[in-house]
Amino acid sequence: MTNLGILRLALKQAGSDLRSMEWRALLMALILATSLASFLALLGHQLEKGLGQQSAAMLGADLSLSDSQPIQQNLLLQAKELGLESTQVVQFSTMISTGEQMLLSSVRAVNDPYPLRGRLTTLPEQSAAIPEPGTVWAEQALLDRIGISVGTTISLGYSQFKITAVLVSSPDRGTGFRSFSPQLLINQSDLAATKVVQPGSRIGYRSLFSGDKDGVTAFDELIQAQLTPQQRLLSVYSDQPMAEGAMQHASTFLRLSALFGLLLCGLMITLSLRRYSDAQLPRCALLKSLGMEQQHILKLYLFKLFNGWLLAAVLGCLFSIGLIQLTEYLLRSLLPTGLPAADLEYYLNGPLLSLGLLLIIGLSPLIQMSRIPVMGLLRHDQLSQTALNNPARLLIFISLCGVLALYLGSPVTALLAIISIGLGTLLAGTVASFLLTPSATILARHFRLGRLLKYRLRQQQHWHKIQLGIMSLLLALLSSLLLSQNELVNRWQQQLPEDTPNQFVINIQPWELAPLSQYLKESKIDHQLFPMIRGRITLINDKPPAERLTTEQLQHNSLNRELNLSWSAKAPVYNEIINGTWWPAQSNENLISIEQELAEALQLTLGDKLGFEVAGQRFDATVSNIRKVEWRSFRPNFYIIFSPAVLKNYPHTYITSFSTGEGQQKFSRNLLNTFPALTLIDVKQWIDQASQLIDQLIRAASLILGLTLLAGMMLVQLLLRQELEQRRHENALLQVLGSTRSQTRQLDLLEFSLLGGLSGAMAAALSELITGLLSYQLLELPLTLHPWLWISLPAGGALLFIVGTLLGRRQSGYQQLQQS
Amino acid sequence: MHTPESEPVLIATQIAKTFPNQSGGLNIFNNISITAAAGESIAIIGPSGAGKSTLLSLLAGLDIPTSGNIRLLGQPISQLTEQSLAELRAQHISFIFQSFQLLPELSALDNIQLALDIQGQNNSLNRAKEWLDKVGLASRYHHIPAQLSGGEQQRVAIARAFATSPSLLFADEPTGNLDEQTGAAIIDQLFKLNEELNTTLILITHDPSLAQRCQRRLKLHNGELEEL
Repeated sequence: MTNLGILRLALKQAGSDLRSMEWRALLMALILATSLASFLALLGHQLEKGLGQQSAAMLGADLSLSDSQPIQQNLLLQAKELGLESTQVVQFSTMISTGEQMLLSSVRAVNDPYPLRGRLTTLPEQSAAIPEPGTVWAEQALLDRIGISVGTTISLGYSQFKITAVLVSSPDRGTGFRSFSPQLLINQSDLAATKVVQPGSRIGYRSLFSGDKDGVTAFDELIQAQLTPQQRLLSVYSDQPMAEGAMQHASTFLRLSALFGLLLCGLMITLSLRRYSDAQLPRCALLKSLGMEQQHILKLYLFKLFNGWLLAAVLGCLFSIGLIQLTEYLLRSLLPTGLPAADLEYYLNGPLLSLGLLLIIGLSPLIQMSRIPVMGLLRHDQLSQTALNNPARLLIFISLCGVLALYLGSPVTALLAIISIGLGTLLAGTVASFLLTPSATILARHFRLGRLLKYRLRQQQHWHKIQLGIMSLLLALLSSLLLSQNELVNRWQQQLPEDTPNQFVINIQPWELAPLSQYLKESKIDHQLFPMIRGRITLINDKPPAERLTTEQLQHNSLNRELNLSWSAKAPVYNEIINGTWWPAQSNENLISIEQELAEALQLTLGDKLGFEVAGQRFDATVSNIRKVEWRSFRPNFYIIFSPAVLKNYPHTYITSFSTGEGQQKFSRNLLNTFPALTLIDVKQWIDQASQLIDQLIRAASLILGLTLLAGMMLVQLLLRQELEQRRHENALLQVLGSTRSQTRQLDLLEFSLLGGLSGAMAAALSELITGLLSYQLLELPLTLHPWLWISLPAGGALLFIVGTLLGRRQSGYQQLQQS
Repeated sequence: MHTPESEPVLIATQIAKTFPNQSGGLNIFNNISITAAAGESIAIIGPSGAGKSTLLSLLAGLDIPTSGNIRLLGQPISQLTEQSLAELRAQHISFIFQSFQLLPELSALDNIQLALDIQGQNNSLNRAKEWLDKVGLASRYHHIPAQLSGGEQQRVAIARAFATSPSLLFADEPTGNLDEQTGAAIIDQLFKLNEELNTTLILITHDPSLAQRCQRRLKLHNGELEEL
């Protein structure tokens, strides 16, 4: 038979294939796998492309150097020598106010030219490159949140600004939490008058450079060689992936949440292909009896699978593009400029993964189909596939893990995740199926066919375990995710004591100390002011940390960035000294008090010596005591506090926090009117902004988990269908023996709603456990039960199975056959 | 493939078949020999479980005997590869089954055309039409099996079997799923075509009247084959 003839036959059979439940389930599994994999590959790539600032337009330059200090002049000179253009950006968080409303926002003070690459888009369009002095351009989110529009005047520090345009999109938004606050752009010539930037203030300085590639690369190498820990260099030509931290974690998290879905799709492909190939065995035998060669049968089914895969690839890709649009909408405030278009090759990721899954899983049934003896047409006992031996199964499992690892980009993570999901499913399934028999016994007492129910459950134990495991785990994950979204932040806020500080004030200059303290005292506000200075640890007992600590210890945050340091004659009242003693008020020694966890991480004990670098000066200090710090107390807390003699002559600012109770808005407004250069951080606003961010990430994850749940439901439906088909003859026989149709129907519904209800109950227990652990581990909240979960999940699970049963009975022409 | 006039189409010499089971092996039959000349019709009869279908599958080259030799159209089947056996089936052997075995998604015409395509015939569509006309189904070209009666389905199967001009036709209870009247009409058609095309027919049946219409009748009983 020619290839064309085989293809023609495959196409002719396509219609009947589409009518078969197994083929449809296979297609659905392939579409889902393609959609999930494509969606994640595209999203990951687009996030990296968009947020990773790999394009010069996103960076606003070819090279961007961030620092906590202004750039050294000699670097600027070197850049000029290499023919690079440069500009300076100052970015900081501050409260802006309109007299009535206040909002924590991120301010960028810029010089013309700005940006060096890409462009600012404003509404209405502006002829000037940057805001004119005395004016600002603000993002729409900022205008919306305080209910103002273009033309309004706002206060920023000691200055007033008129909003002249909406900043629709802009490159160089900065990184980290600062970049998530609504932003506004001012002219740098206005900066000094605001008096927000003072020595020791928390300010981000960014230098942008652009020029030809050679010049940029040379300058990149030059800076790389002398990069300090607090500096961060981003280059469009650098090979290093620039999307770091949160986004990379988010991407890994999203991929892992999809892994469950992909595994379910794999299982669904296995089951549906197995059933499909079983149903195809007689026709393969017939084709062979007509003289069709084994390899032609193999080709025929390869064509069919290829056609199915092609359809799934196209639909899956389209579906994933829709999902990307939805995600873009859900993450709109995280991604104000939207996602850049994906490269074409990333569209192939999902289809290739599903092809990989299909070939690995499908090859064995395909070969078995082509080898089926014609004799099967005469002797039906010959029409069955032989079970795979263990080495073959292991090979398939390893290949599957390999493909998934390739997709996830991390073999160890993939393997660990697969094993955890497998064990989780098995454990949940075993526990739930263990509870199945006692539950059935109780139910059986009230129904005429109760004994049969128990018999059925025993008979199907194997499949029930899988169904129960998968559904319990899926429902538990989804409900935990939704619970955390709604609850964690709220509960955490609720459990904070009444007098927990809700305002932080930073960037307090020494000359403002006395009047501010007086002002707060007069307002009857309990507070404690701490000096703050930035510095870093350079030596541990006279040796660089690299020589004393392990690689793991060296990863500690305190060694890789500048720390906020303070000094005090007295111990903070809310810190407990757990080892050593506080120094006398007049002590002239270089002494430090160190936080307990840091001491443990760096293996420090009393009497150990640490070397510091502060404002370019180096000095040593000896550990005098170890403190226990409650970081969540919303009070100024420090890893390291010095004895007063050491630091007081360095430029510093002060920090404090306090609770304002009722009338908070009014108090804050008055405070900022009196001390305009202070940076006031409203904790509630900050929490709101953070929880909005968490909310959006959770919603994106829910989307993926929702798809996974869909895969799980389809799998359950496939299994239900299989079981229902087995029931057909049994039910027909029961009716012959005198049962009514409604009794057999009741029996089916009872069996499956019991399964659904039990999955829901298991899921409720699991999600209580997961959220309980999360609450405790992350926020140290006590375990709280959610009674509504114990009703809604079992009811939901039962409903899911009942709908599945009814659909399954209808689709398979179940009742008609029973009647016949 | 060329078969000398003198050589029978099928020669089975002292064949035996044993299926392995827990007690060592279940012996279905021993030392059975059959020879079928070109154009001959042979009925194999016997009680249920006597091994008729097993014998048919051995004679058709679908299974391998535990011992003994079978030559189909001059070729020793034990020495043929899977591919040569498929080629042999496509060119020279046809089957008719009790349950018709039509592909459900293909029309009557497509079912016949498929067999011709596998054989590699040109002009398969016209030949398929001719054959459907010949079995009286000219008005049913585009009906799928589910739209045909049992008798009509078996006629399509007969047309498919003869369309490839086989030298040997194996039929397994061809009227087993049909009522008496339809069955009789089908058998008339089968023997008529068999005579026209000078095909060797080997037929398994329970039905003594059907067996009577064959030139030779063999009874399989207690593992032995007896010529009646």
